[in-house]
Amino acid sequence: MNTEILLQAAALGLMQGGLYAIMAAGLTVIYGVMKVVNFAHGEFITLGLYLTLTCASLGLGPYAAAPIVVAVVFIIAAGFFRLMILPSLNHPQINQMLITIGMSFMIIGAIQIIWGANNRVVPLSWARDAFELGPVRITYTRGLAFLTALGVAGSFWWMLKYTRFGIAVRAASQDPASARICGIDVRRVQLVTFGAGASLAALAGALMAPIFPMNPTIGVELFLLPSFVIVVLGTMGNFAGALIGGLLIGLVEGIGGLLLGSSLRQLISLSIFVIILLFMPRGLFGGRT
Amino acid sequence: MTKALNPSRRTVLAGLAAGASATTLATPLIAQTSPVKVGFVLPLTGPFAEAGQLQKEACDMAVEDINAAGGIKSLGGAPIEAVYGSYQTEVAEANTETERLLAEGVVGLIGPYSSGVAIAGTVIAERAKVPYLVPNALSDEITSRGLTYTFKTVPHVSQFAIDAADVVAMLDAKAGVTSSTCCVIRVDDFFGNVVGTQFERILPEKGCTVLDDLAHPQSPTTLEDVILRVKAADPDVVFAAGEPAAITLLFQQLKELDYWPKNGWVGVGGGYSNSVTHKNLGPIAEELICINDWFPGINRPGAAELNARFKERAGVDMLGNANTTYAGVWIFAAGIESAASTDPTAIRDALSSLDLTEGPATFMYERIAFDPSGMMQNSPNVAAQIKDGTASVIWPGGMSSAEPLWPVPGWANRG
Repeated sequence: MNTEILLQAAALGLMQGGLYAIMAAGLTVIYGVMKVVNFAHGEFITLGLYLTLTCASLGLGPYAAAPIVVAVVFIIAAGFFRLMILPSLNHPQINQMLITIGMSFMIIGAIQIIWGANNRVVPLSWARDAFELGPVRITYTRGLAFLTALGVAGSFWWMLKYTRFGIAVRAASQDPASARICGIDVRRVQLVTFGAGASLAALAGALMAPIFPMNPTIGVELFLLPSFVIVVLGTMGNFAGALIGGLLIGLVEGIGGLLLGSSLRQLISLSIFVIILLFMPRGLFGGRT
Repeated sequence: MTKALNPSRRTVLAGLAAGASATTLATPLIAQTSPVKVGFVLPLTGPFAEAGQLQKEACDMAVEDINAAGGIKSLGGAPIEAVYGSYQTEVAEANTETERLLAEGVVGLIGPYSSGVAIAGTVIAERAKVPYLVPNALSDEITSRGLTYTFKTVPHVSQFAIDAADVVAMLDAKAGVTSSTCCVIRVDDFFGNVVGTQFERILPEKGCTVLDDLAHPQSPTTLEDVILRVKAADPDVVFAAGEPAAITLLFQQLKELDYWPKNGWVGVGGGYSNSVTHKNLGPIAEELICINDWFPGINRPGAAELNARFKERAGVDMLGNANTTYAGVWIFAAGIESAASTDPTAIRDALSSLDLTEGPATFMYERIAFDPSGMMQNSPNVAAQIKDGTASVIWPGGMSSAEPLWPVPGWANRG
């Protein structure tokens, strides 16, 4: 295996990692604020893909469609939160898990009814065009997806850290009761956070639309497990941890898939998952127990 | 009046006897015209849904055609009723559906898509003594286990390996090039492992060294690692088998990475000849060579008309698995017709002794007859090359409708 091919694999892994990062960021922010493990997260990615497809059929390119897709998924997710998650927030965590699994089935079913079960692709004339950086070849769509994912995730992180709403989110996350006493509308914060977390997933879907063929179960089958691995790796609820974890898993999968074979690429990330759970159960950024 | 309202005991008994005999006489008539339930086990959702939905479309069309032609005439024109069982990828899920269909009283089963599911499902059918006709799954093993209720109408994987090597040899000879090295790309499941084993066994016997045998997951997040491994091996030709979703991703990423093997790419089986895959790939699919048991351009009676009807209905050519499934339903109906019974064992016996040279299913086969293992005796392969979005037959010579392009140039040098 020559260095050129190794560098190419690493670069492609990093590109994939950027998408993983934004998916995992959405999942971790929801867990961080309301301790809900959202098993329907993959379906918000799928919704992002299919809504982009619909926009494309109406003549709107995938990148122009992204804000619309994000807004629509925000509204859908907020609706799910209000109707199904909020009433169960004070119940045992297993209830919310089961509810999100139910949501996952509902969304997959709806997608099948609306868009059909066939694989679909978003047509984009320059989807396969690429630029070269030395020995590394990267498509513009991958590069754009990577930069947008990191840009949006970075902005989100800045928002959480430095804005009033971000402080409210963190307060609601750390101590909801005290936050409520301080006048923070915790319910509203939770609703917006759930919608925003799902929107990050949808954004990943919109950015992936010109890259991946889609089918109704792609979210749960391909992206839910890596998202969970990254969230645990980067410490559950830690936004920056999810971003770093995403890039790391992407890179490891890219090189590992090349060296060990495509079939074993998930084995590598799952092995990391198990090792982290055994030796650093709070993840890379959670300190030792 | 009183007499009419209070009939004598004799009148009542006579009436009851007449009623009873009328009921007895009517029973066979009702039984004969009630629908004959046939079960279909297909991947209607999930990553193989592309193929499963096309198969379902073919099943529905075949059932409608059979019923419109008068149903099963030996059963008084009884219509066929399709009962569907759906799975995604899991064998266990398909087994549950197979059991459910059997419990619903189907007289036979047709399907599935994947070889692994067929291997398990045919054992369940054997236990229940219900015939299972397999019109798509390719594994040699399906009919090599001594099962007496299993019938397979498509060529074995080993035949695909032999034919793929012969097609490349023919193309090499025509173009004056040599393809002495290859890579095999296939999915990492039961079917893929069978492909890997057979291709690794047969290709070296045909003079083609396998440089790398690359397996990938059923639902891959990326196939760039596979492509980079092939690029590192630098083969003359790539032989591949897979499912529509993975093939679409693979070809998109081949173009993205600007990689193409020295001479060309040969895809075998239903995934590579699936018309939805070609449609999704658009110009990227051009010049791909695919080998399967039938293409609409084939010179067989009724082939073009049937494809036109299917295309009008489904929006795509009758490729991939739709053609074999459509033919399979007609073959199974011929079995019921010949058995003149809804008893599954009688249908099995009728299928075993079937020998047809005419009828709707001959749009694919010259002769329909099964050997003692349940394998269709005459199910040859055909090779086609995608040209302007259409699969044009290039092999065998007598059936070809287009001149092949070989070696197929890399992405940058295509017109």
